[in-house]
Amino acid sequence: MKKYSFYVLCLAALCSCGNKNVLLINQVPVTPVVNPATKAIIKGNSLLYVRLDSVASIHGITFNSAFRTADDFMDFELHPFSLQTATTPYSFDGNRCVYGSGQGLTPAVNFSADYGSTWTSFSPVFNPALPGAGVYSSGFFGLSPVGDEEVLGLYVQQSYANGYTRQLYKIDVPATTATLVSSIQDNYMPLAMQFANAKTGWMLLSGGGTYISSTTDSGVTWSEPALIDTRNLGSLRVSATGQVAVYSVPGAYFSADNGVTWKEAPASLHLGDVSFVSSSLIYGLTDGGLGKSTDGGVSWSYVSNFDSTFNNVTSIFFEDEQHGLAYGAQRLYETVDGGKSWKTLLYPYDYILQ
Amino acid sequence: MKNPFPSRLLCLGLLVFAHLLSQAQNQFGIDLGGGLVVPTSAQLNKVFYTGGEMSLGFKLAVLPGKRLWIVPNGGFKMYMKGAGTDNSVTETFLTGKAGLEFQYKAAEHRKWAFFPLVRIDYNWCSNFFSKTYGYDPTTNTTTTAETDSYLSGHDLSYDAGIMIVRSSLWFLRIDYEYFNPSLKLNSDLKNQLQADGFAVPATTRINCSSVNIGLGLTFNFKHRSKF
Repeated sequence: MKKYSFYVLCLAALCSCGNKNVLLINQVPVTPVVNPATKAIIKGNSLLYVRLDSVASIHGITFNSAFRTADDFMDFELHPFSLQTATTPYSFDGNRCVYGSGQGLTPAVNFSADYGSTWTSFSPVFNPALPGAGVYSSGFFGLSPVGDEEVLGLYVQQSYANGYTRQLYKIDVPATTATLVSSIQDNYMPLAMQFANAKTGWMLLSGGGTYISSTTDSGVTWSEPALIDTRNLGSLRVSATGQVAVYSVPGAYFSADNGVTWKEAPASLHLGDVSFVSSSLIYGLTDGGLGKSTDGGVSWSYVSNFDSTFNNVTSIFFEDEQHGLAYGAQRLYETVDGGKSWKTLLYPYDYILQ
Repeated sequence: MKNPFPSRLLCLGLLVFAHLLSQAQNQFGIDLGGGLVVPTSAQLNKVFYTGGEMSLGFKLAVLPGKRLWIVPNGGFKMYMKGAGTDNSVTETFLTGKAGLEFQYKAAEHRKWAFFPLVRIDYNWCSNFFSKTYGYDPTTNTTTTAETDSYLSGHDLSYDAGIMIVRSSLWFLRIDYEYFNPSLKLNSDLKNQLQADGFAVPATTRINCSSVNIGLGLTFNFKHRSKF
């Protein structure tokens, strides 16, 4: 039998030949998961902010460009720019983006009202002029866009004698002026500030715990700081409909009524980012994946566990219960089923970075 | 069972054959053949220029005058070639076959008989690589290492052709086989490709149709049925 097998194999071998450079598995169609042209967006770069608009359109900003796509990056627009060295966190609200740069006593404001495609950078003329004497630290702490031509800026000065002075300026972008709205001097150190709209805003303060203060008159008056937690919770997220989230790792508090009442999340919850969908529905980026709360943040369930490919994902954005984005560094994922499954839109694969 | 069709087909074939056997008053035989395979599709032809095949069939004449033969048979088709810059690796595409063939004696002239034929087979395919190494001159042996199947699958094929038989002993046959199997990529390879950022379809149809030219022997036996 072995002898015949040998002859059979010899016959097959004699009859067989082919192209040594082409394999049968080469006939299997293999397509790149992400468009190789997205190299122009992420190579040597990082995503700063991405949002989904009307489900179909994705806008985003990196350190050197703004992009837009309506077909999951099969095709996309790219607007290169040169960002200044930021001295404040980047602040985004819909199509508006703002950040601070420059020196402490001569700060600059960088503003865009078209998703970062074009920027206006200027050193505002302060009214009254910034006091420079007697302080050892000064500068914009945070900027919050509240209109297509208006920004509210929190300018903080620190002195040995008087602690922190928080001055809120209303910055008129076309006029390049900064007008003082309010000034508060106390021992609280600001942690975060965000405005839900032109009137209502929130400020997190640190002073032996985390305190929160709010305004409903464009920052003219601020509520007495109220203690939330004895730990420092440095992240603040507000929505246009009056929802507020204060969180850190670990610890999170949620309010659905402009801070009148607060709900504490379970101590085991480690939130990295929060996205409000409705007064009760909240998505949260946790250390184990995507979490979802349907009761305003009291209880949470995991929607999807992120594997190692989701490393460096630091932010989420949900437009509604089903449609959302998760992103960070050079990675962007999209879901259309409430986070159960994710489609990779941007990723630093070898064929992208080469 | 994921796909019960092959087993159903086999059962049906066995039933039909058993029925014919019970009715038989005529001849049986064995067809043993082998030959050259030339892929006709560009998809396969750019990889393998030619291949080989062998088959063995147990045949039964069911019409008076032995005009129609039914041949349950099995066999294999194999494509092999060197791969890589130094041909040190061999790529093989092996297909095992089991099916039913119908041969109809259309004409007879002296010692020659002409049989148009049709055939249906169920096929099991495997594409793998092998490397031979470690030649031991004292025992005149080598060791061959084989990979897992890179592509595998199973599907039906359909044949039509003609067989020329001389002296009821030798035959030459030429047929065209339509075979378009759905092949599945090895899961490890698929996972690796996906990790590298490539999407791979669950299965891929690769047209493996071919023209087969074969020679063989046919042995006929008398059957004395009690029925």
